[in-house]
Amino acid sequence: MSRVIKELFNHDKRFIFGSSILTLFIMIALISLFSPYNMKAWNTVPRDLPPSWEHPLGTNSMGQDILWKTMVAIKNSLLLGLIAASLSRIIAIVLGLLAGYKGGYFDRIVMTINDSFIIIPLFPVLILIASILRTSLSITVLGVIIGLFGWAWDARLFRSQILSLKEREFTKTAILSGMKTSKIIVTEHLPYIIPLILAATINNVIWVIGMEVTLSMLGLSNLNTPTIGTMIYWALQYQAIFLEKWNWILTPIIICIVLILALYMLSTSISEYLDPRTRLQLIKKE
Amino acid sequence: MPILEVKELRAYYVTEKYGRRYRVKAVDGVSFQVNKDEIYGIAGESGCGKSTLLKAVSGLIKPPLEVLEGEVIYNFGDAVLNILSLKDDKQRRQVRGVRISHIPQGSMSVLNPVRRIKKAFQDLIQAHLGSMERSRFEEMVKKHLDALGLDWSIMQAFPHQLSGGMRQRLTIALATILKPDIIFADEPTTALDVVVQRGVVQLIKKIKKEQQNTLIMVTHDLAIHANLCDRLAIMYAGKIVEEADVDVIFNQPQHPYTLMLLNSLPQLGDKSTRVSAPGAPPSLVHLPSGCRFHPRCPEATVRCREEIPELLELEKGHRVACLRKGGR
Amino acid sequence: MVFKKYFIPRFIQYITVLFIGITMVFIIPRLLPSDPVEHQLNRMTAQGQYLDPAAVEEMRETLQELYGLKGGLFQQYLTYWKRLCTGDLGPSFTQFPTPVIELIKTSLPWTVGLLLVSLMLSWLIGTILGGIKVSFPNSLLTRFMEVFAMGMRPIPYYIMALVLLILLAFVFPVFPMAGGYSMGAEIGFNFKFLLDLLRHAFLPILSMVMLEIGGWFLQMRNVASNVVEEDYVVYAEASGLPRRKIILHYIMRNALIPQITGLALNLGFIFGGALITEIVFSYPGIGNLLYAAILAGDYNLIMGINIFSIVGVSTAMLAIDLIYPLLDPRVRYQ
Repeated sequence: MSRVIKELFNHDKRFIFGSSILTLFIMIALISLFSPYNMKAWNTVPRDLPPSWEHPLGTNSMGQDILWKTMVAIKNSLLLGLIAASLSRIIAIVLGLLAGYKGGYFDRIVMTINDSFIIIPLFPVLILIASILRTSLSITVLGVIIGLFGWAWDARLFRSQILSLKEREFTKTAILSGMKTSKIIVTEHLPYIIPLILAATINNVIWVIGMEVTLSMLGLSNLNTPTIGTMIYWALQYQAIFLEKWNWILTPIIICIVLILALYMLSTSISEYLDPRTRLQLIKKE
Repeated sequence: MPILEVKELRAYYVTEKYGRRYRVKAVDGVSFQVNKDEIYGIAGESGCGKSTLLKAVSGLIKPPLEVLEGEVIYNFGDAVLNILSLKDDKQRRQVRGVRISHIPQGSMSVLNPVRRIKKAFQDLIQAHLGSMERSRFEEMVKKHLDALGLDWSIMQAFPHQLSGGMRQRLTIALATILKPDIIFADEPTTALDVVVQRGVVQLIKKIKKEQQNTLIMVTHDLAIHANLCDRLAIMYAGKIVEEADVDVIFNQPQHPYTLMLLNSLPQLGDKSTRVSAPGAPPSLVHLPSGCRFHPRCPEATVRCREEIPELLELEKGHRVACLRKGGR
Repeated sequence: MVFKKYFIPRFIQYITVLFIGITMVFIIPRLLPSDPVEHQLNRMTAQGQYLDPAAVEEMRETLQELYGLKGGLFQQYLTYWKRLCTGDLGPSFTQFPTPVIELIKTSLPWTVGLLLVSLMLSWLIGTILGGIKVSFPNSLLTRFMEVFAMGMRPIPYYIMALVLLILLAFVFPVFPMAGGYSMGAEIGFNFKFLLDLLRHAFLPILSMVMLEIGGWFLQMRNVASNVVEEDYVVYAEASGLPRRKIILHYIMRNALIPQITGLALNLGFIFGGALITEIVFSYPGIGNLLYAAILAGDYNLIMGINIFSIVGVSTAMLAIDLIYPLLDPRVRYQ
């Protein structure tokens, strides 16, 4: 694993970009814990100040420091991504691996249900849930709800990976030599699946962050909790575009784009490393 | 003058990934000549560079395959050309398919699965003879199919609807319809069952006789070489290790590797157990020093580990690359 | 044979999607802690209206009836299906008593138009460029496209729409900020009105095309670069077929098949994207209707839109599945 990271770091600019930005954002999230202001409270600082030494990104019309609010928002958005992605990972891994290994009727039933979740437009369904729960949507609850719906694509991905691993020569050799199934899975298959899970998880976090932004802009989350989405919501509510308060509206938009691009670069560079053809070359020639 | 002359051909797969550079030395200094009308066989275990040799010789070179040095000279009587020095891709295409053609390993996938068989013939004929009237096209194909004992009705089929043997016959029909000067057959019998194999070999033999073209037969199956070829080259790890008339190879093999291959064949009336070739061919990335066969060779000496044997003529028409057999 | 092996599983899948999706919409409001009826009543009282208790009770009855909350759970479920089968999605609350289905019908053409145009543009351009990328890896256009696709693909629909809105409607006011046509425009089939329609549709379409083109491009590139290494392409090269023929009839043609499957599988996601884009540009389609329903707390409308989306998307997908065998003879002749 550490060799993989080292190789990617030395030879893939996207990996360097992605991992550095992500590290930076995680550090920001940690620093935000020491925020001098309570971000749920309004009017802790004077309103609508332009950027200055004291408030590097200025303040907004709600009387909040934009820099600190952004930092807290980054923390909350990442936390949300983590909660939702972890939950959907558990579902996707369990279903994907079970369907892949068990096969037969179990596989068919699970995959029919799975494909239904791929086909059903999830966005209106999430709106239905969020509009009923609305104010009680804390970061955790929102994360759980998004997580409950975001597993289908990846379950399919993991299953197909298992199916192709099952067909490989080394699996057959291992079975013929009397190795236990559990041991084959742990020692032979997991090394292939873990990086795949990692790449899929990053993509899932991207989706979750995008979904949060979208639900928040519809006012369908706890609007008092600073996240990237609620920051945009409040800026729009106060007509930040028409009043040209660019420091307020553009900060969360740019942060969102940079964060998502960084995550995406990271996941493409990992999945390119995983590409069967690249990988085959690497294995064959070692 | 021979119809095909390959001189010191070196073709490697070169890839670079994450700072590691790989060179697969698939063809590493190969020279041979093929005479007009001859059936020339190339034998060797899988992974010895046979297929890459075919690609390079027909000028099918695209990354990661690279030709580092060597010449491939064709003499078609009316034209002499070095296919590797043809810079223009178009010129190469004008040679392939019409002057030299391929009978590929006829597995499921050499014919486009979403196009009817007829289209494959149309594409080929249109590419080399230009568009022609439908009736003329049909007449031409029908005549050729008849000669091969194939029925016109399969033209409407899709590849997946045909059996493996049928698909193999079709690839033979495709390869010969334009009466090429040279035909390269790449493992044409692999993946077929034995009965079908026999039919395919006979078909190739028959059409070769009729069209009087030159055939280069590449397969790991020595029985087919014995049955079909005039001369035979044995390849090992990217090099030719022995080349002679088929009779000579089978009756007086000189190279220990040839001997090993022959010993693994069953023979009529011989009841002793067959010895399979011990060890495995080397990875073409990390080749052994000296003679590439020395780690598996029962006769290897210290010298074999250090010196690379050259392919030298032992007697007329019999070349061997072995330090112990008079090699330098 | 084809029927049994291909079509029957598709129909089973179709029925399953409808069953799971519609049941989900039935269960969700009943699983969640807040009671939609109480919520609705609270909302009315919170708006400062004074209602005497008897009226509230009567209203509760009506609402329960409307939501199909009367009787046991199973009873409710049966009534729910019975209503759906007759195409009855109930009345809208905020625009009482207009049926939900009527509201959806007026908004639908806008969404379908936006979706079809952007989907076709992005799919066609992305697919063609992806095929070109593999055939001519060093061409400047496709190299630029690759960077563009990498940069655009992960951006959420909402962010993209917002950025375009700020840039091209506010900072450089080239296009209108909102709506499907200018207020007070004469509606009719004339050049001026069509131009007006186009001007309003431009940014929503651009927003969706920019996001989706990258996905189709990258998928086509990946599939086609696998196809290039297939035996039949190598054999076509060895037969000296012209390059153009190989690219069009061997590489692109075969890579098209997974591209169609991708279209079917991504339909739900793209549909969601269209709704979001409409909301940002106040484009008068289903997305905007949904937004109005959220603002007004009109659950019946939200539920109706949900059911309609599920039926619409899965039917569209079934249609694609039914066309698919025309492209792939391996399915057609088994």
